[in-house]
Amino acid sequence: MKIKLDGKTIEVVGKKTILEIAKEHGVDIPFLCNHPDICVTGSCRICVVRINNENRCRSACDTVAVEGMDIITSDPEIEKIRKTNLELLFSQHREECEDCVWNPGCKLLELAEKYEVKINKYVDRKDHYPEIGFGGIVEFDSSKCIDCRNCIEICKKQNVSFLEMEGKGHLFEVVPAKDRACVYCGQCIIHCPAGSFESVGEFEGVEDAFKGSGDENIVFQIAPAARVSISEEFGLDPGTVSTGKLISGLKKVGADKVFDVSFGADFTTIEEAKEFLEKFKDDDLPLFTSCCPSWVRFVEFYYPRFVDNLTTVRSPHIISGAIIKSLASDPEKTTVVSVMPCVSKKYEIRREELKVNGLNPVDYVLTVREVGRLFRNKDIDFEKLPDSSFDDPFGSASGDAVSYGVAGGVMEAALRQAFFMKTGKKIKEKNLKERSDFSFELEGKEIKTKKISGLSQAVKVLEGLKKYPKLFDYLEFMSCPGGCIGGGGQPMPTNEDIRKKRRKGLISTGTDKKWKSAFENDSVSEIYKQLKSKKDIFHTSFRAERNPENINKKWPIKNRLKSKTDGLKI
Amino acid sequence: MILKKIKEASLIGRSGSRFPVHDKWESFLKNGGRGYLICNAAEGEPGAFKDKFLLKNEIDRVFEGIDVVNNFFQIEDTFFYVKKKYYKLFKAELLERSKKRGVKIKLKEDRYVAGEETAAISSIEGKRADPKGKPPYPTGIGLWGKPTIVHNLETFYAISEIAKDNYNGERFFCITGDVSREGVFKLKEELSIKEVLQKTGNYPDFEFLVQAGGGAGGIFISEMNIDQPCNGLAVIEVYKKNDFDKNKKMIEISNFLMYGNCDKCTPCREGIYRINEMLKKGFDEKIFNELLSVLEKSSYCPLGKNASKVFKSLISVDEN
Repeated sequence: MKIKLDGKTIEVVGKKTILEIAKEHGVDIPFLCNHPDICVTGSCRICVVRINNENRCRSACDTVAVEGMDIITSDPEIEKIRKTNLELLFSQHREECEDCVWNPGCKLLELAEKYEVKINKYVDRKDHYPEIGFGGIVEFDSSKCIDCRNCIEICKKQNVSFLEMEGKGHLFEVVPAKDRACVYCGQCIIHCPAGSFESVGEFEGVEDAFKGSGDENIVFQIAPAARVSISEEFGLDPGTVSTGKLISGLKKVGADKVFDVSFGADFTTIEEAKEFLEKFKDDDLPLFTSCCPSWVRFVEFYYPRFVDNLTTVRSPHIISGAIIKSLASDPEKTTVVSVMPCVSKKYEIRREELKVNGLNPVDYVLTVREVGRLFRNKDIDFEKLPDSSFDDPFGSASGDAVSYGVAGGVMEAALRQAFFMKTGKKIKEKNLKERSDFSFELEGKEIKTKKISGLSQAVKVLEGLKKYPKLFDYLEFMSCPGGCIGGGGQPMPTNEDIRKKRRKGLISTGTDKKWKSAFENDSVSEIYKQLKSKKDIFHTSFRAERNPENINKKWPIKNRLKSKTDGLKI
Repeated sequence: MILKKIKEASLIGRSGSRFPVHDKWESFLKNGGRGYLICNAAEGEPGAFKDKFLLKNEIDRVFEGIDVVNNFFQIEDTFFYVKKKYYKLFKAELLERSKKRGVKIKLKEDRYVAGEETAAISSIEGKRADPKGKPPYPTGIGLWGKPTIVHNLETFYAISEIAKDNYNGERFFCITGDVSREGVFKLKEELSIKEVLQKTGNYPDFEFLVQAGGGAGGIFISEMNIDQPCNGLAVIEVYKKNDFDKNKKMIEISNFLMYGNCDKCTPCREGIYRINEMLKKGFDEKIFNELLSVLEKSSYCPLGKNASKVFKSLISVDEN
């Protein structure tokens, strides 16, 4: 069909919103709340346009173009409406720019500048609103919330529905539900246009790891998905691989050693393959992956009947952290910091049952955003950093291990391993890679597998398994859309386009590895030999937990004194 | 055939938005003629009580109207969306008639906006009663994505009258405020406000102004201009001019809207809040006009758009 966009006739194929069409044609319509991951809420009213010369405006985000539509994206009245609505949005948003996850790159400020908005035109309505902590992992600063409800939408899409609306006086506000549990996936953080959500430590805690007595050995380990996305923190294109620069940067800020979490992943693969084969032998399948801590928490709280299906094998950075400490000359004086695309890993490292000889395998988790901030704090010119390599002796991982960062990677790796262990042959690659569900034959039995990323998909599959327990034999679950590349600790913005680019970049780092699979990695067997007690390091336990009181502990609420705004002037 | 009769009668929906009933039906037919039917008895408008009147006095005519629609279209389910207060008042009568027909009753949330047709759809779907954007219109994509006809309760009454060839273009007017005979009156719909007041014995013998269309959504009209029909909802509220306090009225309306809206879109949530604030703390005409403009031109649903019209009419009621 044909429509007119700012006077120019264009051809549109399929059902598309005006905002999508404008984007495709390079026409800039400003917006705040729209995010392609969630159904349109249409709340901010910044993307207003004029259609067919109507007196009133319509939002471009939720208006689908139809044949003959005449769209004007900017005129003096439209611009004025955008400006007034921006001023109203600022009137409920307490500026706290220094500490914000959108800094740099805040869209609110960018638009304020463009529209010459007086951001303090009205007295901040939410000045005294509280900051609410979810289990000490995710923090919601309600004084910054612009009520777009994206957080509620994404939380609902994740089937967690922990965030909900509550009527307070004349207003409806975002609050945590009393009978639900947050699983710390952090999707609220990356879908909030106002920076109201952050993970604990953002950004006041980014240097905590260096604040010891000074004689610690500070060891960093980098998750697969972080080595690609860190580039975005410094304005490089999504998908750019920056492993070498990330290592150099960490060394520059004080890391004594920098290792690759992927070497831990090779152990996870081997151990998980063993468990799979045991369960296969005992006819005790299905087996679920468990390296995503939000997924584990989701099962423990919402689907406790499936707790025994979770593999007891620990996640890669917990294994590698424990190996680092076990082989260190002074484990007590070794600080392990994991760089993760994830918020939930901050929760995982606090789990008591993961301690080895009384020590936490990992002491700190920094999100990719936090590492970006750490480098900026230290005035590191990221692009000019030299490329360094991971330190030995854990420098070598298989290509499969790197793929842990993309949806499907964990299970694929374990299946290659298991197939090889059982048959001495390599599994057929075609089906393995291309499909979200595929089956293969092992000792005459059909093994049905499924890969799920995003908790929205997980519920459908779990409900299916309730009815038909033998529906699948092995399943990979990742809480975030696209797996860790779409994690809650990733740079802002994150969306499907960006996730795709990160995925491509990450897969490219795996293909040049010396070994494809864990069973080909010689250094793994070397380390196995050096470790004394293996059980402690490789396996863990889970518990069904139904009581929200216990799992949430009470929300710590910090009441803000009615006081200062930063008074940021433009 | 009933559609033809309705078209000939030029029946306008009684919700206040003045949408021709036959247009709705034709659109529903165009979209397959199968789906859901909703009878909207939400009546959240201050000063409106004709739905209550009809439930009390003409409930059978209303259900006959529902039957007419059901007989004409392939309706999978009919929902009776009713204000909680009315449900309590007429529970036995409603249950008896709805059970017989398999009509499902759904109680409306106590929020003004919950009476809007797309909000009613959200509510029946089990979600918060928030409005949805139009288009798509409910006759195309309505309840659970299926074509849906939503009519005001009074519209069903009129449909039943048309089916029985009893219809003569009358509707139910609510007269309230500083009047001697407050109540519901059945009169020709094209009558002017003046005629309605005269015919019902309510024409004041003092200087006055009226709000026509409802206590929150109706516009203010001065005595000189009441020679016009009552557009929108047929609610006429009369105010003694000498006792009328514009600022107080504006605060009252903005308070009502602040509590009654869904808080979804910026102009309605923040704009009405700031209007309310400035009425209490200090008026700024320039900002006031800016806020009215975003309400009128950019709010998500008709509530905000209409609020601007109401405020504008109130500000200028002395001049018009």
